[in-house]
Amino acid sequence: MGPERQNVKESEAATRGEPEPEQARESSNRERRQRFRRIWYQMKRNPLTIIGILMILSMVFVAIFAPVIAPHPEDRAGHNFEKGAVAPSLEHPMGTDTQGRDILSRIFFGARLSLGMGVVVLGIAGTAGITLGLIAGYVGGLPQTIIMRLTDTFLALPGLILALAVAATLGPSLINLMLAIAFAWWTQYARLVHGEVLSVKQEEFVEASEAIGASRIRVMFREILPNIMSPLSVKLTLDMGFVIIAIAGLAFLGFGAEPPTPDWGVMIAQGRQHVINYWWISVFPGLAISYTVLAFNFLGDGLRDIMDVEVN
Amino acid sequence: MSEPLLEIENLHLDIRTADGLAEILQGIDLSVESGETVALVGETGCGKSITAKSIMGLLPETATVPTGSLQFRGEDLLALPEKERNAYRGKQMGMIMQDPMTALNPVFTVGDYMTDVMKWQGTHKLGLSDWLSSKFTSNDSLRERAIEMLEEVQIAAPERVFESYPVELSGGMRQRVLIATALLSEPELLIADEPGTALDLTTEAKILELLQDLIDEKDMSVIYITHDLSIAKYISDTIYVMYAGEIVERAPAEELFDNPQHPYTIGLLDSIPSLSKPIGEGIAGELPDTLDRPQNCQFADRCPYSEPECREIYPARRETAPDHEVGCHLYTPEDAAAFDGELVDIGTPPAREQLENET
Amino acid sequence: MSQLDSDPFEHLPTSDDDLLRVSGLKKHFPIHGGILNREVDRVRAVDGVDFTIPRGKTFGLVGESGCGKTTIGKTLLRLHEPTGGDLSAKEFKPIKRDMQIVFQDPSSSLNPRRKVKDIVSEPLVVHGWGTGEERRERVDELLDSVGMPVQHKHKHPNQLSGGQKQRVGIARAIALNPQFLVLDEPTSSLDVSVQARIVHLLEELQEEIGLTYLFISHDLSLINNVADIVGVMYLGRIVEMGKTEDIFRNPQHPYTRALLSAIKPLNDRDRELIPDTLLAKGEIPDPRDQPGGCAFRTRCPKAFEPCDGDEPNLYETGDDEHAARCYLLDEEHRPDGPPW
Repeated sequence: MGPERQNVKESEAATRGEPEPEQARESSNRERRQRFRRIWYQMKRNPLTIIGILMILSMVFVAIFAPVIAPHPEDRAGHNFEKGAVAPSLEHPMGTDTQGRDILSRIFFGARLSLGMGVVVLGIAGTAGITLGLIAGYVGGLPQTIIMRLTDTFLALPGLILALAVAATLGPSLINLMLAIAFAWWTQYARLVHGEVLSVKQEEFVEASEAIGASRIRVMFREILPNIMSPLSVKLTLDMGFVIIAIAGLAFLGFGAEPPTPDWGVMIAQGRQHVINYWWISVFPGLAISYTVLAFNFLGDGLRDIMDVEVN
Repeated sequence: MSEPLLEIENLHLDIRTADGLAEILQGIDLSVESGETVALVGETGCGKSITAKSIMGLLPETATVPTGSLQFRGEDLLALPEKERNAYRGKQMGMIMQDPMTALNPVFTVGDYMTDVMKWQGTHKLGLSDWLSSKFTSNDSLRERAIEMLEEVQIAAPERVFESYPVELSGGMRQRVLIATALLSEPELLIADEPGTALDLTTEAKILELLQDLIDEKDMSVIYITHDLSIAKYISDTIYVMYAGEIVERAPAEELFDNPQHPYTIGLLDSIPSLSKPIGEGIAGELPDTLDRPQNCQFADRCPYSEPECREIYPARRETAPDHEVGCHLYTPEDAAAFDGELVDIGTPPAREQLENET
Repeated sequence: MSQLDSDPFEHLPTSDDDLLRVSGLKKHFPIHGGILNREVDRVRAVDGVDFTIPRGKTFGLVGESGCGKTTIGKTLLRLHEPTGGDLSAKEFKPIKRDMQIVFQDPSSSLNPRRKVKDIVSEPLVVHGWGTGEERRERVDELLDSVGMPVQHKHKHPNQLSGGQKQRVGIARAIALNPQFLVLDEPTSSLDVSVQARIVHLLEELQEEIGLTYLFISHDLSLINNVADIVGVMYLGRIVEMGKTEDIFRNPQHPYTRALLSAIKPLNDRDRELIPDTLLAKGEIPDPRDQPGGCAFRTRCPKAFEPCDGDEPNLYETGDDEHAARCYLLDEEHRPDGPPW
């Protein structure tokens, strides 16, 4: 072996050597910066993502600070019949309803309810659907047959009607409404996750994990689940809009919150007899729903590219 | 010798990425005489496939060519508008893709595919009337031509294959179909991008044999892209060795094996497992970052012979023997007067025998 | 199959030095079909394979895609349940600690969503090895021993080169100090200059930790360089087996010779070792639809009558511990003298 060859070995050994802890931290910081740069690059390519995020942030802000920023926080419930329905004005930018309550304030408080309920419904439906989908896809065999046939059965029924039936059986209350929608919704995730798992399962890292001796649960949740998060997050985000519509729809029909709760669906329902004379009572809550759904759709569309930053 | 069929000069190519501008090609010079087979050899990430795509005009949207010329029979293809470029692609230049499993659309039969290629090759935009009138013209002559071509690539039952869907064919068979399709228009230049890599050993050997026969018979010009020097030696007249977006060495095939000069070529040859010698040391280190190219010699960081000067002065390619060019400061040009780069003395290269004894 | 039960490899080393002994290993994959999803057919991916691997040695398993070589590796690790046969490995504690695998494609075998340090420490976590701090130290130590700069541990696999990824794959495989590694084409997706380095790394590790390897590859030249004993596989069977020198200097099975003839020589010395005409016709048959008798007879240029009958047994070639499954070696059957 010539002297030059030995040099190579030495120089390689030098780069192998123990790194300074600072160096390690710095390289980890560099990774993070690079990640942010890539996410930002993807967002710039699809500006609607940024708009969606800003819209959602504004909703969250309003929901959190409703008591502070609402012009008439006392109007969230109660009534003021003497005042009656007032058209939009400086004092009441969106007018008041037939019971004299400031609609803008009620919409602000309603944002809390809609977002909160949406998150809870997706949380329940998502957890159930993802777990069952993972089991069906990864374990296969009998569990797969049972879960997927059950899913098919559910999917054969119109979701909203199913939720309606369940809500009607359980009786009107906020919690029952959420359970009813979650019950009708979990199959969406079970089916999506099942399909994705079937393809991710083919990857060798799943086999590598099995070769190490990892438990099935660990393989499902540590190896497979992170790799299906991208389509799953897109679906969850897009569904947030649909769930909020469903909640409002069932509330409109009287299966959710009871008046005087400032629920958007209830507000539309209350305004519907007066829509000719006092259009603002129904239209503004309706716009709030549209705004929310649009925001989540914008974000959902852009999310896929962002989620894949690590992988590409 | 007359003007070369294809002449690439100082071709640069950048690709926009999230992390900045990646410099993929950094001045490719390549010429193909008519009837010549040229092999472009290099490892993953050296830019050989993107060079092929530049020639075919199949670059991604994020790619830009800051400088360079690409002349096909004296015409600069880079300056042509897309519409005229299309007339070259497929007709005068054919390409065989790497993976026969994915290069054929599974919903069309081989016959559909081949006749479509013959009908629409070089058409930039397809008008409705063209399409409709094509439905009423007979395909018989096209069919005949396709079957003739399938015969030429030694497919035993060409009529049956003509009616088959890709899934019904084995990998080797599909690669033959792709070769037949690429040759339909009798292109003057054929670009083969690792056509055997995805196949089995014995099948690959047969595809290579077939290509070799076809090249001889049709007197085509061929650019053969491969990572495997032994295949390059088997099939080509001239070998270009690529590293990090540059041509680091160019030599006639036999000469390159007898007298490899660039340290990268030497390391590569040394690394190939062979029946008669132990496997070499390999090449330490990693490819340079395309976003942050090192100054001057791209190989300096991995080179066992590098000196500080290699990072200061660009190792322009120099002719060290007839038709043998190498971009390395270890070598001085045969004809120093004609050399327009800068020379430095970083010592002399090791003799070939010495290298072999080491391993 | 009865002839396989007689253990034709009895004469191969079976002393205490053997780490692993496989006999009659079978793995059939059922094909389900029809309305009732019953088994309608089966792919005999591995159909009666016997071999032993001496401690600290490398057994090279070579063959083309679909011959069952990868299935053998994965069946040994119980990634597939074997259909039949026996595996005896002395003193293997929980099998998944003492036996590990390095996969072919490091881009697919490393989870793209996890960082290098998490991938390498995964076996430690799964087997409850050490405290968090000890595991972090072990990860650094492992990365260092596979020649990987430790600062890369915060990276995701997609930020590494192919060679670096495979080093991570190797670090993961040796994390728990196994005795035996299945190397499933560990370099076939890498460049040759990187392959050479990975091969040397594997050799170093073998010496340092005393590992025993099953090295699976389709590349005969590579196998010639790394293996001590070689088995050549075709359609689920080992058709020729022997010491590496014997297989390459004195190949006996027509399939081995066909594989050799596909190699492109690098130099004149190679050319002497490579038969100059390509010796296999057609392509590998569908494993579901194997020819009876000798599996290679449909492609064999030397096929003659007995090949259509029973499957040939293993015949000794004259070299020590070198046997091939071919009637040409059977003096009763063979038409006219030694075949080659």
